[in-house]
Amino acid sequence: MELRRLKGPFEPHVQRAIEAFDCGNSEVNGFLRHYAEPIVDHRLGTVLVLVEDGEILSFVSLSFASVSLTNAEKGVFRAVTTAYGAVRIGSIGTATRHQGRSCGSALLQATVARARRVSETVGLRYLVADANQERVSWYREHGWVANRSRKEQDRLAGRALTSMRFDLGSSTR
Amino acid sequence: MAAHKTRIPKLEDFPPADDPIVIEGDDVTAFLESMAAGPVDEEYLLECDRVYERLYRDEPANDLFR
Repeated sequence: MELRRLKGPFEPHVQRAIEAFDCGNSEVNGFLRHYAEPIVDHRLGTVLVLVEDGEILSFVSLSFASVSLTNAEKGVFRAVTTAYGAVRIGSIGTATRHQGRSCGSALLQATVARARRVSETVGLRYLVADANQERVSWYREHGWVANRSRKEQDRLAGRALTSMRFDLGSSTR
Repeated sequence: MAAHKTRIPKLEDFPPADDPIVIEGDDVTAFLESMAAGPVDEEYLLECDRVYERLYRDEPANDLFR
């Protein structure tokens, strides 16, 4: 099992591996099938895949973003900026036949580590994700919290999603 | 559309702020404490690094599917 990035354009054998991927969520499957290639091709995001024996076990898409905090969370820095740098998990999924192997957890941990490396070069404090309701507890188990700022809540108004973040911490490695 | 020439700003275009924001000492400590969602689990972060170093290879995945 190894983690690598997808590079565009996707050759036919890559498309076949993507077509074979099924995490049980049509929206997540659809992202990988229809949006991953143009996103990677145009540098709008990165797609990391956990691969074993030529099969995609899990994938995650990453891009830069920002997150709004409440004034209380921002503390004295509320006068300086309104949003803080983050890496956004746009989509994440594990193939149904490999669920139960903690592939998603490993991918999430690897994503945290990758973001920590980026934070050494560009100011970056958080990971963010819009979690489906059934995934909120999974993110919480991995140390994520719900965003409470009005801006984050308004952004997802009417959608069954929760804006969440993970704090990469203030210390450097 | 008429050609537009951009004026390059000079140093004197940026006078010092009358009321610069100064953050120091206890304020910084308070900021760091207030900004954290909770105690950062350093051990978890180190485990994340170990997982990443064990799994990640900085080469495109594409050839793995041939």
